[in-house]
Amino acid sequence: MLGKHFRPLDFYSGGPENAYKLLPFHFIRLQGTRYVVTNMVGEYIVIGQEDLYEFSNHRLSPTSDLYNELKSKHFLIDSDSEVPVDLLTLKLRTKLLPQSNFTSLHLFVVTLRCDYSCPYCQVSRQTEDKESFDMSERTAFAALDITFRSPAPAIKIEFQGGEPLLNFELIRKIVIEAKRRNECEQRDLEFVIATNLSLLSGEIISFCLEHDVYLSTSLDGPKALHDKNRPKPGRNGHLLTVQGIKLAQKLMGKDSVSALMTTTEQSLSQYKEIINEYVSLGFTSIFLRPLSPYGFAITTRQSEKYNTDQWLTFFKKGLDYIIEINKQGYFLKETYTVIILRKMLTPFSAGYVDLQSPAGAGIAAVVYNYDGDVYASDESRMLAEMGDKKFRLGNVIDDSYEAIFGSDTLLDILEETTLESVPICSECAFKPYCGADPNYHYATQKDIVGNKATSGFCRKNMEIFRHLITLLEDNSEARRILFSWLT
Amino acid sequence: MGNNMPHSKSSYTTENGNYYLKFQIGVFSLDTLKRAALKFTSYCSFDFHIGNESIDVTLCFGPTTSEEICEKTIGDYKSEALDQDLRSRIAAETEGYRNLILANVFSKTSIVNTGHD
Repeated sequence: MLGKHFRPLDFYSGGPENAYKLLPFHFIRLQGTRYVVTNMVGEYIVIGQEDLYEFSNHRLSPTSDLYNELKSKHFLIDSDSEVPVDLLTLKLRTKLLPQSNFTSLHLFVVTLRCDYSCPYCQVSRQTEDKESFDMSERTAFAALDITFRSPAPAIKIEFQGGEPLLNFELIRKIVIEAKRRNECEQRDLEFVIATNLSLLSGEIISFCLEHDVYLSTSLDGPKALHDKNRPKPGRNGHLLTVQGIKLAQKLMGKDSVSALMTTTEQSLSQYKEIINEYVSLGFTSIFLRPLSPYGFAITTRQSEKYNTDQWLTFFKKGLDYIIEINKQGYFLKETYTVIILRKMLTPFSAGYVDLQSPAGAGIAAVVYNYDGDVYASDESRMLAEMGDKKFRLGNVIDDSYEAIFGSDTLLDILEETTLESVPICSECAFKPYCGADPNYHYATQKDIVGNKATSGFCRKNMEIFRHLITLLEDNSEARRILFSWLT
Repeated sequence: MGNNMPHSKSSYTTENGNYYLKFQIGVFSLDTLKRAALKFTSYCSFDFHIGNESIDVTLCFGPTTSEEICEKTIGDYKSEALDQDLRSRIAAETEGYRNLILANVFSKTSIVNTGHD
């Protein structure tokens, strides 16, 4: 009976009958002689250079801890079982499944008008009086036709601008009409308004409560920083935003409103103040976002005020500070870190459009502009406002669903941004965590694939991946806190 | 970047801001060296020449690049060449399993055997 519980003696002899075979994996230097090896679904192990060569040359002892770890994470297969192949298949299919659901995020740009004048505005907003930049009801309902043609079982409709509350009446009509249609469609329907909250009123809050509409806002930090980044006539932008946040939290619930920040040159030295501002308002997450190279951020040269390395320093210090806050008992997550950790540590997709392969443009998210033009992403819309309509897919009035989503424009993007066929990316160990950002590379290199050796997107993500893995491996307290963000 | 006279360190020679490396044919393939070079195109440009016994790689740095950066880049490039060589071997060895897994992932078949098939 004991023979059932112990392997035969010759298993430990390391003879040819116990030789293992390699399963597909990639590796990359972490730091010094430490490497990260990743399998096809992104499960990783940190390994020394010598061990990497021993493993790759089939000289690793089957009695070693490393052997067992590599086996448990499907880096090798031996005579014990053929199951690793099935398990890798299952895990990879699980990760890719959301892509088969197709477009789930539909952005409605209900107006380009705005009551702010942010120098880094990515959408090149228009002044409040220009109603010719409002979406019409006809256009909105045509966009709804396209929205419900998507096979996605869960659909999120996000209202963007400008300042979308300047066209609240249209938002109201779209929500009511979408819910009416959904009585037949039976999708899991969700609504979000991306707003600066300056126009938030009791009427709007009542509507949001009645129809389960969430709010998303921008909060760049404490008053001086926020008002400098996001100037408003009256210089009371921060005051109105904070008032709106508190009002929404009080009447709609703490989770009804979320906020994110954009890093400007002035933000770089104020990571603590920014994070403290979020804590003071009771937020449990903060998204440390770099400035994107679109719209007014280009024309005002805001995007040139700092480089990738400076932002990475800001991010790492900010993350360290957030971890310290968690140690002191306040639960606060960094959103981008959670997205990446979900890719690293779970078999599930993170559902983040900018970190997908092929690019999430069109197939994860689509934008219906105020004039009915359809864009592959919000960044595509921003490029269009600068005069470049390269990523325009069609128009909701003039084009059918098939014409829009079967367009050469979209198919070319998807074909060229599949990382398995992109130079440097195809062999990168961080590929399972990364994605393609065709808009960023087109904006910065005039090529939707881009040369990754000179790509700020690549540099940023590689450095974050390395930093997180180092924290997970070398800092047990940080590891515990990072894991808690995934539950 | 110092004087323009050619001088030699143990693994390369340099002249006029260009650095010349030799890789023995049979140890590294041209494809390996080119793949390794891709990652350093932000630092310098590359020229390749296949000789009788070696592949000659020229790294062309800009006039303002410090010697420290040049030497670090050379070291990193040589390390990357070793890594690329290993990647090629691993890719070749695991190609069959990779294709099998991908074929199963994208097939319209059940992965889990329910016993009712």
